[in-house]
Order: sequence, then C-alpha cells, then structure tokens
Amino acid sequence: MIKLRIVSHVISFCILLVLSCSGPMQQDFELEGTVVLLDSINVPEVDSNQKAVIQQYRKNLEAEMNRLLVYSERVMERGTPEGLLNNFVADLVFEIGKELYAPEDDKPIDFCLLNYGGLRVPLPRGEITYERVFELLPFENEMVVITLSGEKTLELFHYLANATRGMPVSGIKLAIQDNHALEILIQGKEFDINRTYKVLTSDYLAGGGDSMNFFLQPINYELLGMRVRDAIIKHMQRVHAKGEKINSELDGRITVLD
Amino acid sequence: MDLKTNRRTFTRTTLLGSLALASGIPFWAFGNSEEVARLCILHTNDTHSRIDPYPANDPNYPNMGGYARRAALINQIRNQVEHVLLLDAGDIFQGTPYFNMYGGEPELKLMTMMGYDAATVGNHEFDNGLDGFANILPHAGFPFISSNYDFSRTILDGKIDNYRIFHRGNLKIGIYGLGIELEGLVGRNLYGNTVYHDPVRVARRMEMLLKEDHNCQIIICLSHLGYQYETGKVSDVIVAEKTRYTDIIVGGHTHTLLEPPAQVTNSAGKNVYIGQTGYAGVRLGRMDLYFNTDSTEKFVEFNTTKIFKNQEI
Repeated sequence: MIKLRIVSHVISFCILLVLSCSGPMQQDFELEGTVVLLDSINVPEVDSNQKAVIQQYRKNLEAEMNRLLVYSERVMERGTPEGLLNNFVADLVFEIGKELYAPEDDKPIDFCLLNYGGLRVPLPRGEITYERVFELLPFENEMVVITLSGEKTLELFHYLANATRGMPVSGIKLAIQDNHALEILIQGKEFDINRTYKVLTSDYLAGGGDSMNFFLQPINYELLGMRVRDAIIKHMQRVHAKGEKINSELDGRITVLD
Repeated sequence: MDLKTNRRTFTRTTLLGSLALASGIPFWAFGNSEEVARLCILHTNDTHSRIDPYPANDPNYPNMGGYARRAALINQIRNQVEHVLLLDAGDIFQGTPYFNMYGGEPELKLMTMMGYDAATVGNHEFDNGLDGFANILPHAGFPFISSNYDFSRTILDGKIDNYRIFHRGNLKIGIYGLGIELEGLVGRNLYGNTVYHDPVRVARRMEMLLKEDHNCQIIICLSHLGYQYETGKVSDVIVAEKTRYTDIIVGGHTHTLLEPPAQVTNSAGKNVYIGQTGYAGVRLGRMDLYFNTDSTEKFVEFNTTKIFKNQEI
C-alpha cells in the first residue's frame, strides 16, 4: 500500500482502544483518531475539479468583494470582557444608529448592545475588503431600537454580568464583581430603574437571540431600516474618504473586579 | 491489502451496482460478505461557507482551509483506504459572501462532488428560512439526517432523513442525527413549525432501533448539539454518557478542536469517541476503526508515529 505522506506529517496524537464485547452484535474495534490541518504543507495540491466549479461562482463575487474598503491601523479581535473588535463595532453602530434615528418622542438612543458570537472573524491590520466585512458580519440582521422598562434594563445588566463572553457595548460603563453588576453608568449617568431606556441592537437579539429574553415584549420596537453590516460598510467608507484608517482601543467600558 | 485486490473489489462492486440500478433493487440487497478490516470516518463541522481558503493576511489561518484543498486530501485518503465514510456535523452555511449571494448552492454541489455520505442540520442551515433551505436542498447528492427535529409540519417534510444505514463490505453502520434547541438561537420566523425533541431521549430510541432491529455493528451520532457546556445543557458528552450503543459522535456547533477525539464512558461502561474539528473547515477529522486484525499489520500509513498495542479498558 502506498504510504500516505500527508498524514504522516501531521498525526500528533493517536488513540487506540479496544471495546469490550457484550450485547447484540457488538463489534470490537480499535480506533485511531486525528485531525489534519489543511495547509499547503499537509496538502500541497488542491483538487482541480473543485477549483473549476468554485471559479465559476467566484467570478461574480470577485468584482464586488475584492474592492478595498478601508485600511486598518491594527489587528482587531473580539475579547472578553471587552475587545478591540467589540468596541469598534459597537461604537460605530451606535454612531450611525443615532444618526438614523428620528423618534417621535425626541428621546435619543441610550446605548448599544450587540453580541460576541455575531462577530465572526477578526479584522486584519492593513487592507480591509468588502469581503472581510461580509465575513465579519455575514448575517442579514437589521438595526432596531428597543425601548425597555427600568426592570428589563436591569435584567439586561444582569445578563451582561453573567455573560461568559464579552458582549460589544457602547454608551455604557459597567463594573462586574462575582457576576453582579456593581456599577452601571449609562451615558455617564447612574442607572435609574424608574425610567425607560432605548437600546440599539439587532433584530436577531431583539427576538431573544443568544437568550437575550429581556428584549422580548418591549415597550417599543423600531426598525432603523439599515443592516448592521451596512452600517459598518458606511462607517468604513467615510473613514477611507477622509484618508484615515480605522482604529479601536480598550477603554475599560466593561471591567471585572476581583 | 494490495492495490490489485482493491481493483478487483472495485470491479465487482461496480458490476453489482449497475445490476442493482438496472433492476431497481438496492445495491446492498445483494449483500457483501467481504470482511472489513478498516473503516475510515472523515468528518467536518461548522465549515461556514468557507469555500476559498482564508486570505494570506488572516491573523489565525493564513491560506488555510478551502474546499479544493479538503477535496484533494479526501481523494488521497480514498486512494489509500477502501472503506471511507465522509460526514458533516452541520453549519455548512453562513460565513462568507458565497452564502449571501448563492444561498448555499455551491457548498452543497462541492460537497456532493467530494462524495459526502451524510450531514446533519445545524442551526445556521435555517438562516434563509425553511424555504431557503428547501430551495437549495436538491443540490445535495447526500442525505441530511436529523432525528430530533420534526419537520412534518413544514416544507421540509419528507426531505430530511430520520436515520440512515450505510453498508461497507460486511459492515452495517447506522447513523442518526441530533440538532440543538432552536428557541433563543434561531429566529422563530426562520424555523417556523419545526419541532425540537429532547436529544437524549431520541438518541436512546434511535440507537435501540439501529442496534436491535437493524443489527448495525457501528452506530454513529451526527450531532450539532455542541461538545460540552458549563451550564449542564445537553451536549455530546451528555449524550455519550446517557446512551449504550452509540460508538462514535461526530460533533459540531461549539467549534471545539478535539485532538485526539475525546473518550467518554457510556451507561454500559464502554467508551464513546467524540470528534470535532474546530471551525471553518480548516481541518479534516479522521477516525480509523480497525476490526479483527493483527496489531502488527495496523497503522501502516502512520509509520512516523507511535504504534499502540492492544489494550483492554
């Protein structure tokens, strides 16, 4: 039998065990398991039939997707309790959301909450293409403004205090200790349970996605008419038009105290 | 086994296959007493429309992954090993503009070309709604298997398999599928009237059916439940612990990299092996099962690595 070269390069662990025999038709086997990294060392050649089919689909995409959108000053990854990518996305979505929002009651949006799981890939340093932004946010989610009671808003902060992953937020400052929201500032002001709050989020989360059940049955639900991804593209276009690069920093908006 | 024997076996099965096609009798009805020494299970999960490799400037996976590279490796393994099962544990869709533009068509076409035997339904398979999934499903030349989603009151009624039995030589391999709770994870407008049933209860029913009624020697659970949760939410580890006949769980959803596969003791005191390969098709999982062979002849391809002796558990 011809030696399988690629696998011999990459087997890092093997397990081999014998199942004991009992019960109906039990089959003894020994198992060897591994995971092969698909890089150019382990798999130097790609399949030409696949490549040909992909090329047909790729052609139409390329024209649109390979275009440069903006340059990035640094690599942005998501993080917990906060991350460069969390802050970047939440801040710009909040900015554009405020710009679009024209409420009947003249009360502005108080803060923005998105989800960690929704940020699918990091942003590299340097060139950012349309494709990368589609990968960052592949979902067709719409921006919505949810009006919550004080109690429901407190539930939201309980959720954040218990979240195991850093949720992208903008407009708030939160200190967490022992899964408890110790200090809550909204637009620099202390949280007040006796008033309502307007939260900018996505229709996915507003529908209870990621178990954000505090968004269900809100006082008001207002669609802004723009996708979250389109807000990011809009922001990047503006930055690029000014000849600038996108950037982000950590500012301690969510801190976990010992 | 040498290449000559391989070729002879191939000719015979092809002939039988043609006869079966001509007569309308399923191929396996002819039976095949050929003793299988080795079964190679190849698996992916959460490939998320990653059709092209990651770009060269990606911070984590520069130039890695991609369907064409995965297919090349699968082909190479097929040239080496006669009996291969190729499985996907869900979330084939969503993640690159290919999905936004084509709705999953290229993913299913390319997986069919790779010879996938089965996939299960991940939560992102619902991203374009039940209609969106039903529309592109004809491009899949392999079954989607889900045992705990009831699609009978949806447009997918009759289009998703409850379980499947695969034949490799004299081996009968039963596969059932488990999907994650949709409420709170997928928009209700997307999953519609799909009904979710408790995975452990369904797993016990399926393995009993496959083992006792269908006499399957190997039982595989194709799962999109996730490997394990701190909260104690139902997961692959829990299914493994609470079942008795399931041999292998090919998992997904939590993007966990299990290298090597995890081992969990089931309710009958036997080992269950759980595989998961991380995210975005950057890796291919592989489990080789060896049957009734002399240990000195095993792992011929793995000669740079440690060769283990049989050991009783």
